[in-house]
Amino acid sequence: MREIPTHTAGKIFLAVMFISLFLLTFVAPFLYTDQLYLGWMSGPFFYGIIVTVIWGVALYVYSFYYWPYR
Amino acid sequence: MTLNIVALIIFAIVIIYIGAYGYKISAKTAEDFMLASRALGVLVMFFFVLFAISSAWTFYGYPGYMHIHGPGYVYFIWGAVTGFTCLFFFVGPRLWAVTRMNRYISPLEALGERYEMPALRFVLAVILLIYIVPYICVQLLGIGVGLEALTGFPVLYGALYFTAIMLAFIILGGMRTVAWANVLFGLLYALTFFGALVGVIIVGLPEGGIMQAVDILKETNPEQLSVPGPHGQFTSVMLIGTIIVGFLSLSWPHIVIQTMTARDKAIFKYLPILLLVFGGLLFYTVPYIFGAIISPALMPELTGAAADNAVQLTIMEYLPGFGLVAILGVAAAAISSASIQLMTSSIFMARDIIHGFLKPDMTERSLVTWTRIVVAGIVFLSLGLAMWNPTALGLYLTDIATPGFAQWAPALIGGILWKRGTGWGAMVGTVAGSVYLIASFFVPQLLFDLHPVLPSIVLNIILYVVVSLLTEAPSEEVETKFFDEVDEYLSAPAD
Repeated sequence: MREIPTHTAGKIFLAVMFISLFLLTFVAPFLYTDQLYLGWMSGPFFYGIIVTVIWGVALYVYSFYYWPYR
Repeated sequence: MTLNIVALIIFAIVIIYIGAYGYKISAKTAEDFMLASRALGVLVMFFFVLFAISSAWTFYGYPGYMHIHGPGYVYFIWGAVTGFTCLFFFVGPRLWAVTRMNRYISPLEALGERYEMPALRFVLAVILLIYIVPYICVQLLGIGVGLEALTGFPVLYGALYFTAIMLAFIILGGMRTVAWANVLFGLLYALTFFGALVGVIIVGLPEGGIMQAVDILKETNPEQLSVPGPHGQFTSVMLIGTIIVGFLSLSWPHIVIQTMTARDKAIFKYLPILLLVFGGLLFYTVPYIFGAIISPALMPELTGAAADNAVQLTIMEYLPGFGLVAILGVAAAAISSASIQLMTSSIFMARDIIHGFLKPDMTERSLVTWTRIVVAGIVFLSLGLAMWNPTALGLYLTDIATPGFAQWAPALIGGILWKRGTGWGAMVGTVAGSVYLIASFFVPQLLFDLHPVLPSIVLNIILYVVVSLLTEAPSEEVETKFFDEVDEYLSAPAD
């Protein structure tokens, strides 16, 4: 962790992780309606899936290509 | 009944065989018994972690709560998944490196050295033991209750039966056996759970599957499909609290200790991604669909405490022949979680309290023997507590034990990532947070209508930072050992 904010790719990676989690935690709960995504997914489930995918992609790109300890 | 007994005997034979095989191939050292010689590869580590996290709660408590309150509880899962990802990518590599370089067997041993305060190691060990033992109780109790529902065996018999076989394989094989058993049990559980979901959908919802269930709910109970849920439980504020509490799962000691069993640093690249994809996107979707959609549509009459068994009762209703398989899958899940919790608490007791303070001159062989004795002691203590007062135990688990794990998070994360964190900061923060937490159990006004973990962890973090800044900085020796050498070690090419 200490090594991540010391370079640009690390800063972008942390920003992506932090902003997506912040939105899921503090913004999305005030926006949910009774809409169902793909016919069966509730808002809390669907947006959690979206953030999980974002984290997965961010982790893959950063840890395999930019992480100083890779 | 005969079929049930035969299945249970086969189950026991397989588990004990794993233990015996683990004993045969073990190196008979403390490091091997307690940390599997720090040699677990990525796939074993992944299943080890996923199914240590996924206890019987994923079969009972989690879908049961959604059966009553709708989909909002999924926020706990998103918190936990992101929390564990942070543990394994941000904290894990450094904890792994420093414990490997210095041959620390327990994370508390590392923190005692990091903060140059042996008393902190003792205090953390006692606090974590107080919080972790009730977890083991609940797992044993859960297995007993599940077996009773299926076979009619008294709860005590079921709990004793699974206690005995769990003891056998842990005492024989230690952490390696626990890891391999988690792989086997976890796969058994996941396949059983997924198979049951598919089976119930085919049998119970033949005209459209999940969409048919959604249509039923739209007509009968539309609030079940959105937040805040049928009873208004998951308001926006509640969702925020739920995801934060889930995130703090990153401090579960039995998961933290797993970072120390990794074979090499490359594992910390793969593991978080595997957890996100196979845990967050796949495995945890099964109880979500079951609890938030399928069981409320098919078994709307289940309310109150009966809803905790919503998944099991739905399976027994629609797939009557599948009940035993399901309960064995759940027992496997419970044993996989309880065994790593038991192993972790035994390490804290044997390595950090007995070896660290009471018998510092004991040999490595004695340490292994003591750990085995402690395993047996803790499991029977847990069983006794579970039988003594299960209702009080449930309350203790929800309001104290679960938030209690979070109380060592500032000391752990600060110790690994923040050079300026001091022993007094860690000690004052941890003790104050724990005392506040227990006090709030008796004086609920102290919670300010928040989840028990929130006020206590905020107090803990503030005190940790403030006291650290007010006390003398850690020595240069600590900075070298815990930061400079770790950076150097992690920068080197993988083994």
